[in-house]
Amino acid sequence: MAKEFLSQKGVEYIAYDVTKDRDALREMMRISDGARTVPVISVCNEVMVGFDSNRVEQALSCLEHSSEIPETV
Amino acid sequence: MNAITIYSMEGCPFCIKAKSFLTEKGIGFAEIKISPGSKEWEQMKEITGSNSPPQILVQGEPIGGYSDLVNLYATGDLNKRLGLSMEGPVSPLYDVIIIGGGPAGLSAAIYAARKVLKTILISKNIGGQVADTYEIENFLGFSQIETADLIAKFDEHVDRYGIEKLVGTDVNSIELAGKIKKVTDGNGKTYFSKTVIIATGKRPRPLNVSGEKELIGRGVAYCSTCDAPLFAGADVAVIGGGNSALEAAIDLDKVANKVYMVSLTPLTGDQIVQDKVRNSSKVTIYTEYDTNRIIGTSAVEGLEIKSLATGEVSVLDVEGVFIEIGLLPNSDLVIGTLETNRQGEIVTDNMCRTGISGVFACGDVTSVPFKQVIIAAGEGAKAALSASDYLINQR
Repeated sequence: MAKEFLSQKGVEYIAYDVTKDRDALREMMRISDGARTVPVISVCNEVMVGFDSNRVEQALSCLEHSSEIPETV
Repeated sequence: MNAITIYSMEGCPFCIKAKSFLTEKGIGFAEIKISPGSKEWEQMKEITGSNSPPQILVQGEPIGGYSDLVNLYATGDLNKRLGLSMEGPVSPLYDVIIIGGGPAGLSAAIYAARKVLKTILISKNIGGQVADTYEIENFLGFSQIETADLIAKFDEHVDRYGIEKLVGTDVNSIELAGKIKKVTDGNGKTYFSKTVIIATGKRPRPLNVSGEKELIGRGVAYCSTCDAPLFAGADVAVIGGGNSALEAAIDLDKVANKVYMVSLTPLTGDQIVQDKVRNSSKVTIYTEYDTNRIIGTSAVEGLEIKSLATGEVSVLDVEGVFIEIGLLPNSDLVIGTLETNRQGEIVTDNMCRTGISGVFACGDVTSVPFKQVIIAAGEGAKAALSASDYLINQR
């Protein structure tokens, strides 16, 4: 659902499969302060645990001012 | 006490109009029936100074008759006096409000739409508990389907009928007595309806130990199908001794490094599943052990357990704790209002009726045996047809 949402918005993202990539899992837990659930979405400097379309939409507004790419895990 | 009182007389057309106007807007009122010369007639005259029914009181204050009522409503003054939200007009009156978006609620929505009932479905999510399993192999027509695909099909089917859906919010309170039912969502918005179908399903039963709530999603999990893959190579514990706990252990056995099963009682699940777990070299079983607490600050670091036999306390070094100790019905909204059984399930008759007229229930939240997707879907259909029958008889 999160991936579909980002694609619909035309936002580029990097997806990490944390069930297969141990390093990505560790990184996800680090940036989210321990979260072991998916999805974890990082946009600019904001980390969101779980998918809430309103929150993601708000967070995406930072992209208008920068060229950073959000990441979904 | 109702905020509105109407003095009405039999055969008075504006009395009927005033009452149906309020009913349509979902506004409750008390009615005092009068006849010329009666004690109530004299009371009306004294309070309102008028001889002509209907006479309407709002918060005890006379406002006049039917046209005064409509004017008061149109200016928004009525809402203000009743303390209702001022945002836009009052919500329309639905035929059916369905609470819950699992198989029962979605199926009810389709049947309600086919009966051309004005319907809204309110749910935190679409799919309900089905989303907690990975695959379904016993839904007629699908020998094997991923639940995400099945839920997408359900949702698409419902959308084909253009049913109004409010997804992503809880229901905070409901008032079921009276002809018009009131449902208030998590944002405080109130919806009015002639009938309500409760299809709120079940949720995992919590363990209620220290550290559990704080560490949900941080190593504490309730759905092995969903979350087991996140524990690849890790040491984990499963709490519980029934079938769902054993199946969680089997799910975890495929990915984890070590699996500890902790059960308050001897294992109670099916023998065939027990054997599978016992034969795994990764699984260590602790039966007749209580769980004291889950240890960890920002993520699970361990599990403290205590032997019932010796009282000895030990700590298991785990990163994950899967709690699989059964399910609780989501009936909190109606406990005390509707009849429930010892498990808290809503008791229904064979037409999904609850005992309060216009209120129906279906799916896993009810006392209907065998919690299955196909049964919930069938019960949802029944509830909607039953609501439709009820509405026809009300006309």
